[in-house]
Amino acid sequence: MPSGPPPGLRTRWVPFAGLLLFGGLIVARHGAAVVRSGATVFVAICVQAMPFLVLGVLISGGIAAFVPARLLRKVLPRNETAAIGMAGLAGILLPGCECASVPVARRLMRQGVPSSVALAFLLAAPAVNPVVLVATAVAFPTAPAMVLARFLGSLLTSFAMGWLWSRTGRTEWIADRHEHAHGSGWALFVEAALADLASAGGFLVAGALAAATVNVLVPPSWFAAVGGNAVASIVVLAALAVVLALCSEADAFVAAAMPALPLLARLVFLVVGPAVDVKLVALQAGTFGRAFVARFAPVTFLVAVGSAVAVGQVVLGGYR
Amino acid sequence: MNVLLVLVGSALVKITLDGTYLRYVKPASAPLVLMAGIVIIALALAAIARPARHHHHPGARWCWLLVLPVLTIFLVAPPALGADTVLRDGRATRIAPPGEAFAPLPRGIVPMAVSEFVARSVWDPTHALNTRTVALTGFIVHTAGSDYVARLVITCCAADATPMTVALTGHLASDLANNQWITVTGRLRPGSATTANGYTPTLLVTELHTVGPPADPYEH
Repeated sequence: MPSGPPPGLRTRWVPFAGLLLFGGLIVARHGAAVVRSGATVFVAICVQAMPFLVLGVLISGGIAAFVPARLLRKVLPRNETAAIGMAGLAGILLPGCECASVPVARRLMRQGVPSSVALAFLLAAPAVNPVVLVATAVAFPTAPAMVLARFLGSLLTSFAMGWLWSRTGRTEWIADRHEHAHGSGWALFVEAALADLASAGGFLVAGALAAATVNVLVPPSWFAAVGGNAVASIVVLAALAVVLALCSEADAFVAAAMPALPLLARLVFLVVGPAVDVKLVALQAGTFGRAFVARFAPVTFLVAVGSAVAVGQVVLGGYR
Repeated sequence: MNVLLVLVGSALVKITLDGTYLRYVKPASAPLVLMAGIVIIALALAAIARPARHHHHPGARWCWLLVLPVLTIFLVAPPALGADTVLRDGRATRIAPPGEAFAPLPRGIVPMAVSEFVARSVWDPTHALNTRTVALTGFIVHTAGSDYVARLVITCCAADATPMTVALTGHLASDLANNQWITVTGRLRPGSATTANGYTPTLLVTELHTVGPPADPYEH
């Protein structure tokens, strides 16, 4: 990084020192085995997410270099609501986890696609693609309605957030990267893909660190303990979806392994996870800026819980 | 920054080539991880060869965090999850009923995945296991007073690991340390997987051998 203001050394070391202190406390309380397990989970999340992030930045770079903005304008319906619906359904085409859709959504905005439309795509892509739906069907062989419920719940979340953003969202909340497009074709492709990778990669690591810490420090038995209460089970599983940051291909299997909890609460887990979790929030902070995430993530969380509960009432027959 | 990205790519290539990626992700991820590593290296080398004039990206300030997984992979190479994960897991009833009927068991001693043994002991209406001898491979876990052979099941990566445990009778296992890999032969004690013990079946052990860790430490 030859030019640009060097980030202050002090701010750079504060999180690092905090991390060391935190690690030390964990060792003192739980022993070294927990830290080893935590390190394994941390590396696992990074390794699992990296191919999808790379896929995302390649698509993003490809759009930047080879898809002219006017083509995108031509493809998308003029009517914003119709475009939001189309973007949500287009999510079916991107098989992969949420890490892939973040850079793609950012690129679409930069190419002049309305931000509400890009955000609808961002939320739908990781949750409604065929890979995730097939995984859900395999995980819930005795409750096939779960697949439809998950599909509708995530689509509803993406439509609702796109619509909400088109009404109340402001573009100035989204951080703008000073990007100077040089050259064309491959040079631009490489530069755009690398810039996306650099800005998202560090935040992905931060998210993986947080998720790994929760993974080893919170005993799963806590979550089984709330099975009896409808509201408590929904709240706890929604929170669990956020902090565990599982990939959307795996979350159905984890949800299937909690048969003591009601289906509706497990549906909430499956709808919230791909829309908002610590890894995703970190990625979004790196890509769209903190002002955006501070508003977008909490609202998405509430909308996703609401959508899942509403769809669950209809498709799964409510709380059971 | 580009040098750091070359290191990130190298770390991904390294763990795929030496097989240690199996400690972290499922076997089917190998081509994806390898491709990702190669693409990252190629992109970074292309940028090093033809540097762009402007390099100021606000998000890239946090790019240095990528040294954490790189250092962890190259210096620590954290081991596969094991007894520690099983011991911290307090969940009960984690076996979902299978979508289809169990296949008939082959003749002789049946080598079987720990997860399949647990699922059959709970859900097989024909109780085919009751009269058969099986061989299970897993690692040792001790709790107060009990010995188990355990295996972790992962779907995508180690973050979604779910423990499968089988209690072992007899004193053959009590001298072995946690995480020691064993192949154990024996029979299911009929009706031993109950709601009360979180559907943990008991194996009446006839033979026990210590073995080396398998290439893929997880079941899928």
